[in-house]
Amino acid sequence: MAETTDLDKDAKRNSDVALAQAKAASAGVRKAPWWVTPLVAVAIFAIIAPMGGILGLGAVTTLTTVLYYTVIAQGWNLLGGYGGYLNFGAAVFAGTGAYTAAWLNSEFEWTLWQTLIPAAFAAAFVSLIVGFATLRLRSHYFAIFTLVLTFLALVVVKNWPALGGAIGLFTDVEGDFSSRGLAILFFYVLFGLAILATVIAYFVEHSNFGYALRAISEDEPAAQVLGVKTTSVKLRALLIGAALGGLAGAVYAFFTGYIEPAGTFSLDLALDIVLVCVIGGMRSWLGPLIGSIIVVLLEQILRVVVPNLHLFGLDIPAETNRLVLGVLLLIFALFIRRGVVGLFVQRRGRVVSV
Amino acid sequence: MTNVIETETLTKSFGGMTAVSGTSFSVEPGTIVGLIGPNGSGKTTTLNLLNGAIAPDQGTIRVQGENLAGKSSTAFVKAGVTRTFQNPRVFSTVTAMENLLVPVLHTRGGKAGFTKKAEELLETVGLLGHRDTPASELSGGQQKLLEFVRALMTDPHIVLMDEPFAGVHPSVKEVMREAIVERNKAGTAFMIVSHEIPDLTRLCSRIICMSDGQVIAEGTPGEVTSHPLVIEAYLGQGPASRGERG
Repeated sequence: MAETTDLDKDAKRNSDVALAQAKAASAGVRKAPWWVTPLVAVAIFAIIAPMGGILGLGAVTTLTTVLYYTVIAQGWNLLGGYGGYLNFGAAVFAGTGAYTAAWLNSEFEWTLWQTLIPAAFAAAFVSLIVGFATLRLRSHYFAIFTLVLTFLALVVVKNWPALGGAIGLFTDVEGDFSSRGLAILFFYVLFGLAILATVIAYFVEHSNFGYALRAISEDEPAAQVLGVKTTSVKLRALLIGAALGGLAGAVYAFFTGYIEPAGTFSLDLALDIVLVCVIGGMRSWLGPLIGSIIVVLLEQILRVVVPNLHLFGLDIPAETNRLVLGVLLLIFALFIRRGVVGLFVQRRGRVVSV
Repeated sequence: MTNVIETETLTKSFGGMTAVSGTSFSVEPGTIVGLIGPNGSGKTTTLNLLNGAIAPDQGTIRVQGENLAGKSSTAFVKAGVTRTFQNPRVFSTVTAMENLLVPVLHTRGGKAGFTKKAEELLETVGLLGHRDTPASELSGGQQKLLEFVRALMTDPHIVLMDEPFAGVHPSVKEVMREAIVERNKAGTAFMIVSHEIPDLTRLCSRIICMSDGQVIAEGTPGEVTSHPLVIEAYLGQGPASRGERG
């Protein structure tokens, strides 16, 4: 008995030493204060807020696109970033929202405000069907399926007479607006939605739901064994993301005044959204916001700069901007794997594998 | 009193190899049962069956009297069965605290209550100081402790543990042992797979020995370790000495 007591004392001493060592080791771990990322987000929105009224029409339109991307990317990031289910389905959900809004507007003269909720519901409904059918697939197969889904949606809408077929649908905003007035209206509607999407992403990241999504991303079987209903969690993430995409799509339909299948269900948009999250930082609620600013501004700059380049006397095709963005994606995927946000907040970023 | 777990003729094959063959045993409430056997004897497969990670080909698994064979892991967790793994499977990019909040996702209750409970559990294994440390920054032994307390978040009736003492520092082993004893005093049963027989004999009231997918001996630690079939399985012509099935 005395022997056991000595053993217990030894063990206690050893465990105290081990815990003290562990505490000392962790004291050096760099950790950004919790308020840094919210402060950055507030600062970004505060800077953007007055821009709608200050900047010229072109710049306001560019910033509106930034906000449009932010809403869709925040939605996409829930499953694609936190959940680790990289996919190319963003255009399908935004497109569903856009077509729902445009159809309600052209057919029944519903206003922009009236179409927002139905557009979100329609996109969420489509995501439910897609999710039920595919979310038991592991990530790579899911990614391929969503790629196919984008083409499928394009074909279906193109051949659906009620949706205008290949010609598309026109939308009309009620009331007399100057072109600048309209630009300001869309800017602030999307500004509001971008804040909503960012707040949702913030709360998801700091909820048990968000931790479960990250657990799924890291080790789905282990999460299942702990009792997490993984399919249901993934489905919920897809659904919330799709609803946000649908909202953004509805505004987009009015913003452009006209939508057609090829431009709406575009793989360019789907790829841009992935790029936004990879560059900004997946698994961070701030990542899609920062990524949207970088990607949209870069695209705009390249669109202006590239056609004026004449390397070795040759004209550079305008599509080269896609090439530059592709190279950027590779650089981030290989070397800056936690995105821009990860450069500043080391401990939260997710290692991207593309 | 209903057994926490009771299996009957549990069988699982992978291709042509039968990993668990007609196994029947039970775990009484509040007991610590050891599960031993040479490599490839079917211990880990048994654990995987007992928490729904894999479904049996035949047989029943009664948890608190209800047959859950073929049900998902979620059903097993809901019935009060949780587990840990041989190599700790913590979620490395989230903090210790966040790791503990994952299993309670579908449990009713506020986050504040769960956070308090998680803090108490982290305290029991000396990890409270690491509550906001990403799990990837914890040592291997600390990850094992974290995984252990994570399994306790859903207030299980039984925790299935796969090699909790393997490859950890003696001090961590002792923290783990004490935590198991404390929890057991509060009524939680344990089934522990381990090759560390001395640790098991200190902890367990009963030991089950498997070989070739079957239970070959069952009883008190003294009875099992001196059982001729157990000695043969470990030292004689058992699968370990034949080098079969890793």
